[in-house]
Amino acid sequence: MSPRVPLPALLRQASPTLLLASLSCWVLLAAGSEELPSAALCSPSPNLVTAGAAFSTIYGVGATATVAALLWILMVAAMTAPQLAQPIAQLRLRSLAERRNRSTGLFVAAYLMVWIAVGPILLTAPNAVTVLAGATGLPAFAIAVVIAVLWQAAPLRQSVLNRCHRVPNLSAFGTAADRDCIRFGLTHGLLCAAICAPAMLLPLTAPAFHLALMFALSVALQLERLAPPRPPQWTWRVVPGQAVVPVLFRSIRWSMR
Amino acid sequence: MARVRKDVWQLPAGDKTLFWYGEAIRELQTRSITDVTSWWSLAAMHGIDRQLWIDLGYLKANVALPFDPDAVGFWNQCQHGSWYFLPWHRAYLAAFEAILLDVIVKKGGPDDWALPYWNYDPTQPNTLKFPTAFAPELLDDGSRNPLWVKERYGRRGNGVISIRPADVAVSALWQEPEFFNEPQDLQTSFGGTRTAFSHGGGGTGLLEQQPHGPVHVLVGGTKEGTNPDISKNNGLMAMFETAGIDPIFWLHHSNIDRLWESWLTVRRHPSDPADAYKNPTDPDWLNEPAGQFVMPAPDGTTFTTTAAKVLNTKAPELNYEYQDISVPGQQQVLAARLGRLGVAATDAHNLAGAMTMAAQKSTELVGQSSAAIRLAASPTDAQVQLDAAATNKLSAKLTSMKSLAPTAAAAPPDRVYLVLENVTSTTDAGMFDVYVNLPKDANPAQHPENHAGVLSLFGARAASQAGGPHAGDGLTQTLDITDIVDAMHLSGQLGAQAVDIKFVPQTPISASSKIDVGRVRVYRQSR
Repeated sequence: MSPRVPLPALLRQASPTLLLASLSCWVLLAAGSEELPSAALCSPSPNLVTAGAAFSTIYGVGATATVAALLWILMVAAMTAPQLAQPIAQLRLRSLAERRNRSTGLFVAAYLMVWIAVGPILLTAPNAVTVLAGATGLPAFAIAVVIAVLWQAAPLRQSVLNRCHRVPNLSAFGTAADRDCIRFGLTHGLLCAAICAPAMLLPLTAPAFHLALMFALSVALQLERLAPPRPPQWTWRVVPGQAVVPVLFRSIRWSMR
Repeated sequence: MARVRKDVWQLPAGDKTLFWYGEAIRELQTRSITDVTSWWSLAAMHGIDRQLWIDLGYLKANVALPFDPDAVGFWNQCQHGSWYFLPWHRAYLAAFEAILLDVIVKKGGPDDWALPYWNYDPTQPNTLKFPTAFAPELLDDGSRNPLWVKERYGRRGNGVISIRPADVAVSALWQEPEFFNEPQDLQTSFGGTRTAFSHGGGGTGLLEQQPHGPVHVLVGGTKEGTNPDISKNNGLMAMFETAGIDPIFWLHHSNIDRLWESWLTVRRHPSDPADAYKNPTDPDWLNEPAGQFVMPAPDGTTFTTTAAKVLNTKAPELNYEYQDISVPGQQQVLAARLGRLGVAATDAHNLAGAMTMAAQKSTELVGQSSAAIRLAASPTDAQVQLDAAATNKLSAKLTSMKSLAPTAAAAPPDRVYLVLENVTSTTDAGMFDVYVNLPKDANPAQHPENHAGVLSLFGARAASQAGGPHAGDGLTQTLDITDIVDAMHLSGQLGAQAVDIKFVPQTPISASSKIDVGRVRVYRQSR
């Protein structure tokens, strides 16, 4: 029987291991950004290589792209690890006991592959925003806010979000099981990237607050992930997770009584 | 004294309970759907489909509705596939009963009137018949019977409502000590999956799976010779969106609520957890932070309530009890099982008494089907491939029972479940018998020992929609096949590489219907 601690149901969906992993990555990122005020990774850079180069110039590290890629993975892990609690739990329940760790490993690797692949696109997007800002005379951050809010309100985003709640259809045996875990990781990574990427323009266009914004965003996206699916339609709920906060608050209040 | 909800099959001659029920229905049906105390709004709280109601003649197309019929809110509030299923329906029935009582008293009826219940008791075949008073269209005086609706098509679509004991089996309920299960675990609990949000749609509990679902489908059914994929061909009881219109709905749910009260009286076994056969004490369940249940009052106002407020049925706000909540035949199931597994009869009882729950529930996949299974109008066969390592562990565990010392504080033998996952469907009005390892060419009806349970499609259509609370995952049905697997183990069949599953339709299935079982899995669970 699983232990029943009087925690709000919402919080009990989280995995302590993944939260700890995420927190460690945040500490590393925070430590890095203190030493590196204009955080190379989160300021608009033409591409990953120059981001890495900026980093390596300061630290004197020879490797460039590798360092940048590692930093990027660190950031992805910090922001998204807690959100993987549910899919990993679903995956493990549907895997044979001796395959559980292998399945989880394949899923996580495939998931990270997607993020490594979309990294260069995402990191060059701020340049497009800057060009747009120059053309329209609006601040780049304002343009990023408009893009993020529009996407947040869009029915398409909600249907992508709904798909995140689907339980994986996994084979149990042999190479089919491996293939399905990889496919699940790729799909989940793509869905996650599609859901989160536009909001990530915010920290990317506000270098001064990038870390704080990233942290706030990842908490909000994590909360949003806990809300149940709903019919895709245009919505005024443009802050991720805003529907969850009052529930969480009431839940915590009752738990403490 | 609390009012007594009576067994509809045990009403004494001359009893007026159903007469006053009918009188109240007549009155509530004259009220407009815009009135929250009307029959129509009460039914819409469970579910409404505007076009379907218009097609069936229960709604006029020109009526301006007070609530959005497509939104989940005061209407479409019903909680299924969640640990809120039981408390929400209790609050709903209590609000309904209060409104009817108000009407009945104003009409000069008894102030202790209470909603009766239909106890389809599998051990009493007579009770499985459709309650007589609800069947005729006209009363003796030639007036329309308020307890009658025409859209009750029954098992075969010809209007004959026949329920078999296996459709409404309840013995599994008394074997399950946990009220709820966690979302990342199998849906094996009595009351449903712990869902963070009211409409999370995590999973149905055993009571919701059976007898709740099958009774809905077997009363509602589909009109003979018509396509069950078209909603208006189905009986009212077969769909969320119309079930509340049928007066029998309320007696059905009164019985479901009664079975909950019965479950709370089941004797705890020493190997059961401390909270066995008890309601959750979790504040999230008690107080429903995601949005309390909103109910109508007789004066036309609405109020909110929670699970915590409906736990004591004898409290003044609810003020009812059931005529009978006894649980028939509470045998020493565990001792009997140990006896079958080879423990000497004299020791089985002591060993069962000495067993303690495992420190942690552990659930392990034992086997799985390789692809989705499309169910058809004729019996459909499927195969679940077994994992040798997992099967060996299960076998070893079962074999080890007979060598335990009678006082060993061991964990009880594993239970085994057949999980039908991602059941999606284009119709709600369908039901299948599920058999495990039926002998070749055997007549299923002659092999009750291979009958794993029933799969009802009540709610499957909504659960198949991608934008719905189930994210399009469909339904999950969990069947306890422990006894079947024990028999396989004892006859040496558990070493096989696969088990055969057979789905035998119990209702007419159209060739165009798309009814799929995404995966069939076998799990063992120790706790």
